[in-house]
Amino acid sequence: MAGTLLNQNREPRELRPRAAFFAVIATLFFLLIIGRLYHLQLVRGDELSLRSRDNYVKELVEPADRGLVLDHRGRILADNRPSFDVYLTPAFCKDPDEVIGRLAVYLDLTDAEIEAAHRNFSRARGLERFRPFLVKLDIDRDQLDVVEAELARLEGVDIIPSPHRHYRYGPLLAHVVGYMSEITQAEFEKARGTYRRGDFVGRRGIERALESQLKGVDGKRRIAVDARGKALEPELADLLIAEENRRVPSQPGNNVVLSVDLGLQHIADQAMKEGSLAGSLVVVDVHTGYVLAMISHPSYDPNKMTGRISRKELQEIVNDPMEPLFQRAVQQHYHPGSVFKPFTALAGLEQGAVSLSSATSCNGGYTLGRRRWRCWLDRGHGGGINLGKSLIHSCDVYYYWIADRIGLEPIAEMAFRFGFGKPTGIELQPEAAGLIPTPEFHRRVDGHYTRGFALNASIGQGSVNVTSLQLAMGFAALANGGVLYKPRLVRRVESPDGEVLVNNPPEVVRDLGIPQAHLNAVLQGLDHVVNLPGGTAYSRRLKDIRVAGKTGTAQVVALGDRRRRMEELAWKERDHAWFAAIAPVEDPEIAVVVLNEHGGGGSSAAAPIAMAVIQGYFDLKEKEEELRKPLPPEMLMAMKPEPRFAWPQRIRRVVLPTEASSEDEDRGLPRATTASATTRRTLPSTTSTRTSATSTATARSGSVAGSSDSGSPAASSSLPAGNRAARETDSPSESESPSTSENRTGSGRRSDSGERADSRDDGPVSTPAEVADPSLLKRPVSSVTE
Amino acid sequence: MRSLNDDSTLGKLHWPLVVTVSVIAGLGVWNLASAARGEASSLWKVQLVWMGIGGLAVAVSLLFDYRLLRTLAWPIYLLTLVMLILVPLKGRVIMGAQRWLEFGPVRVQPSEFAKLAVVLVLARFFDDHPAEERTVRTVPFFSALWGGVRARWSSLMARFEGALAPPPARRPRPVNRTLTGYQLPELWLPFLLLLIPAGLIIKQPDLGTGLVTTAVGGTVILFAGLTGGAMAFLSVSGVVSVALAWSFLLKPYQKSRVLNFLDPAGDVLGAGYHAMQSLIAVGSGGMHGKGWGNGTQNQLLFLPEQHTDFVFPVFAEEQGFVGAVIVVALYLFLVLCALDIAAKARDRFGAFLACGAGALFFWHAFINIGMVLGLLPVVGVPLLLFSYGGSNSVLSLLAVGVLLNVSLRRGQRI
Repeated sequence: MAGTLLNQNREPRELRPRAAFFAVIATLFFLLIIGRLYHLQLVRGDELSLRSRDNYVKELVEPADRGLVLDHRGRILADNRPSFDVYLTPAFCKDPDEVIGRLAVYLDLTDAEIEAAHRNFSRARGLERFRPFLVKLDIDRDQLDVVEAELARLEGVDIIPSPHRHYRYGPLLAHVVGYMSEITQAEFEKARGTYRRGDFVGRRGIERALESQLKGVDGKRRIAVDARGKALEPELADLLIAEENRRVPSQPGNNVVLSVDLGLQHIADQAMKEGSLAGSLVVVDVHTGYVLAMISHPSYDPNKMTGRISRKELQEIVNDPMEPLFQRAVQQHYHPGSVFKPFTALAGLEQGAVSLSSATSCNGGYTLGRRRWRCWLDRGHGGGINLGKSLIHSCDVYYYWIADRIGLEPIAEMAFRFGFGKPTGIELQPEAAGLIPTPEFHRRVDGHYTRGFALNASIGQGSVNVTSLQLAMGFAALANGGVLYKPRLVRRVESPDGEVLVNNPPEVVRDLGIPQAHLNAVLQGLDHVVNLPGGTAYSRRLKDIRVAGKTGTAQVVALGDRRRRMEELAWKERDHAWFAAIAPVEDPEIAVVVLNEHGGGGSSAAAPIAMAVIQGYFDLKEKEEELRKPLPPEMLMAMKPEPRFAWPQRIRRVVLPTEASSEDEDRGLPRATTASATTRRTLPSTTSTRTSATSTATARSGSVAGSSDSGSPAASSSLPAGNRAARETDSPSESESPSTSENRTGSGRRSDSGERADSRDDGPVSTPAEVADPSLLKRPVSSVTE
Repeated sequence: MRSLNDDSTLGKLHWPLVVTVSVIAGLGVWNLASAARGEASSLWKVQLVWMGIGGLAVAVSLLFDYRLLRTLAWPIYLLTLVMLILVPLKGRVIMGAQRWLEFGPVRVQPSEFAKLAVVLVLARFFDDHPAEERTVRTVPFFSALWGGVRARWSSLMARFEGALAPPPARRPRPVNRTLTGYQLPELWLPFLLLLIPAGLIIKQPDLGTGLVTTAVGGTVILFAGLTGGAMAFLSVSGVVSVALAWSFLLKPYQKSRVLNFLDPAGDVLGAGYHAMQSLIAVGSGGMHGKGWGNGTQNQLLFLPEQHTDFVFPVFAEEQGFVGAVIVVALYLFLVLCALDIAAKARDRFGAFLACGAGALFFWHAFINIGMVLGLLPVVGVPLLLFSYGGSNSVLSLLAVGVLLNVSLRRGQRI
């Protein structure tokens, strides 16, 4: 006991060396820490400073404003508006059920969208959790207000504005201006650095052709964020990021000024809508080749196609039997039928086969060898059919006569000179080349060549295929004294400041070298078509404006022995209606071509549309002074080149009509009311157009059906009742065989062989093999007989 | 017990220690004011209040002789043990761990007091059982080994060179050795006293506190002195127990922290995120730091737990290498003071108390700073006197009080 006490009470000297030893150990441990501090702060200090800066500096892309697309008077056709997109960042959201539930209420999310949000949230792992995912695109103004007000309670939710392409007139210019869509992997790899994933690029029309001009150069913004990704208050952010590093401004894209006139386009659109179910219309300036209006009907909404379309809606558009995405004015070629006759006549005159006065007689047909080519009028046009009369009555025999004398080669040569059979080189791609058959072509495709092919070609049938645009340029050349222009949609490209960067003056392809006398004779004939009693378009003439033109009726399926009335045929089997016009005759300014697909006779179905557009053109010209007045203020606002897109402080969206309707009426642009009176018809509904082409197409025709410019008032007056009947008979058949592109192509081929003039045997079919792009053959090559 | 009014008591106070602790605590509060700006801007005031309470407790505790603790050691230890056992039964679960006991409005974290209790009871044990010097007659390990090899070699050679007579085998000679320190069998009780609470704490789970408790207790035992054989055995069994703990004791998140420490670049945004952000904070401080309140890692919340476990990176980022080294040096000085006091204590109990208090500061500082500098895996160990926390602040000041008390009564007779 004493010992322990002694032990306890003496100074524990034996512990002293151990304490010293511990002191040494502790010092060494702390030196290790100081060494580590040295390493981190002095050796790796710069590197880690950079990393700390990377922590709070967030680089944002400031997308460049895409250039505007304007009409030739400077009216905006396509511009940009902010699209407010709602994103959610998983890493910053603690209670996803609560937040997504709130968003679902505020944004009217569908069940699928809610489910997708939950799935995206739970799927994000690791680094992915810091990447915002899209909850809803392009919320409207009211939703924006609500979400912004509630943002404090919506953890991890961001509203990100991004410039979005806006087509002010929606479907009106869809086929000219085009639309945009997300960049594909292949394009992204090819572009190398100028694009980012998810960027939109021009996909069709001018948007595609002038992508490089419109795009602009993206800028950068660097902002400071805290660990939760929230942007800091400006005063703190300014301290952290030097001013010169904060922003690399974007360079807006250049503006593209089109040759199109918005007013005329609108009139043409109305006329096409009222007068046709499908078709195309082209108006060109005969002295420059500028395209003033171009319609492909039916159309689609490019605003939707530009990233605002659901899979289902897209599927509907793609599968629509009317094929609204198709650019009918340049992508599709058709048999021209009678509208081709002026060019045959010019070939005949040039070859000296016929003179201006030489005439033949028509007894309802023309016999070559053992076969007979029928004129569209079975009883014949009688004697004394010269150039003028042949055009007025659209007599086929006169052209059979020419073709018999000169053969196919001069006709083809003349057609090539007028620009047929080759792409015109307009800005819209892809473009159909059309097809002009030559003897070599027939030898290659059919294995032989006979005069009969020339007879078919002379009236724009057989293998002759042209686009509406080619025809418009050809008629423009007829009107301007024989100069072929290249069609142009883009007049110039301007910088955002208005400086002209690219100017597209009219471009002459070639002077056709055709004697003025020949041209005058043809023009006079065309004039009489409209303005002489008995002309095929006489009933469609305008009161104040003298128009020259040519009707055409291209048959789609071959007929049997019996001619059938239009009402008896399913819509898809009806004739295509053409009208090509020049106005005014005294001093031609414009050429107009109308193609009304399956519209019936050229006189009844196409001429009224063309006349309405011509009337509209001159009405507009009269009102030019009025149009030169200052534009409405909201338009002036939108036309200011800088800045077009405001970041969040100016978030009020410009609400614009998707179609030209109300605004144009307000501005007094005349609508095609005069046209509607004459062209409004009871048309079969869209669904009834899906008919079985195969059943009738197999019917072989023993002889060529004569052409018919059904200009007779009797035929058109009986239309309404007949159409009703047609609809009733059509309806049941649609369920039997919905037409797909394959069987339509098949039917086209069959009908092609069926319409052979000389049907000696089941010889080779003449599919136009020279068409470069096979997709252009998606639609049936319609046969024509006149 | 004598009155403190004898002589100049204030003069006997260990002033370097007082100044060091005051400077560290002051810097800590100043740093907290920066670390906790914005969300919890008044935290530093709360910390100041805790420091005041702690300081008052120190002043009061100086009135009593520390030997009072010798009497109270066992009761305190047993009470702590009871509380530790109660924690899993009645404790409150906060953030996935059951660490708190509630007595009315007061919430106590028994594991914090366990550190002190273990120091107390060990000091008491080693005070009761001083190591005796023993003389042992034994063959030294290495000469025994050498002798054996030589004998074997000789017999082999003898077989080949049969003609020669084998030399007489020389047996290693035993020598007298003086053993200081404890042999392992004598230490079963201290180890039990240490490992029971440590195991309970780790089970909570609170790996950080459990490790610190073990380290502090272990340091006290080492301070008592072990024989060489005991040391060797401990080293081996330490390795084995780490392996066992890895397989059976550690929770998955604890394992992932350790694994992540071994491969920090593996998962930057997962468990490694905190470690990486901490390194970035320290490193970006550079030589002179970004200045008080300007640390972007701290202010923009990239640093996790910036008031508690990761408070040192805040200081290192804003004050740079210079400031960080000063703080580390202050802690080293504090530990050296404690060891000095231990060496000069008037009795074994005081020496062990001082050593335990020093070990407490040393291990907290080393594990915490080593952790935020990426030298050690991330375990939740606060930096005493620097991190925000009521229990911690009071605990550390109590430890300082013990040090001062031992130092103050150095010359006094018992």
